[in-house]
Amino acid sequence: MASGDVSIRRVSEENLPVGHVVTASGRVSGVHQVGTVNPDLSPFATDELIQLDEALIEATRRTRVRFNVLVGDLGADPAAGADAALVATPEAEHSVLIAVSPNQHAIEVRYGRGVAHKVDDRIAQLGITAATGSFRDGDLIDGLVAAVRVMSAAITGPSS
Amino acid sequence: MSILETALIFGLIPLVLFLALYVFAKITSTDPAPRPAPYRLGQTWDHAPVLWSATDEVTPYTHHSGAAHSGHAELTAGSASLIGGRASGKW
Repeated sequence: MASGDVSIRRVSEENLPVGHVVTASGRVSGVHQVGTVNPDLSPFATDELIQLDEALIEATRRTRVRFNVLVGDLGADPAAGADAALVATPEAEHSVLIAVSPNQHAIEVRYGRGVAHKVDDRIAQLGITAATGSFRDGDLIDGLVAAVRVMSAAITGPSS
Repeated sequence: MSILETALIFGLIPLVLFLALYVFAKITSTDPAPRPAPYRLGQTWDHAPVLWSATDEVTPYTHHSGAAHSGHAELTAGSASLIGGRASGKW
């Protein structure tokens, strides 16, 4: 988990928590005890997630560039962690990745080589500036939504 | 039947029954899966990494990288050749 990667990892059956097994397909199937907090559930409110989802959909539609958002530990070197994380994202070469490492207080923006004619480092920096304002107030989703909106607006430009 | 007996049979007994049921329900019912506490920046992130994307949207490149073969090629090519540019920030 050092680089926050989302690729498939080999799981050893001995280290699994009680009530978890590795199925024949390699997926980990686990039970959740009634009344205890389910760690698989997202710690974000539903309306926040809808807001982010709509921002991602609109940005992807308007710019024809896929926007991906990653929240997780990027490791001691967030820049290297974000580089590694881009590989595992959908349409990596033609996408924009906004990676946030809350424990390192770091936000990283990466865009693929295939969209370098649409996105540039100035637009990536705009996204970071838009996000950090809300991040200082503790609002993760607000900052992400702002970054996605600002970046998609900068990509499409004022004419379209 | 005196007025006291009537009140006992038709008032107190149903009331006690309902109270008993209420207490029983309160004790036995638990929220099957309470949500984790809402996350605010500044707290330690101890959840698994989350990746969000507009999965239903189709971009001009969807068919290129959608195939497993292409994804494999990207993985072997390494991250450096994929990156068009970058920006970093702290807060």
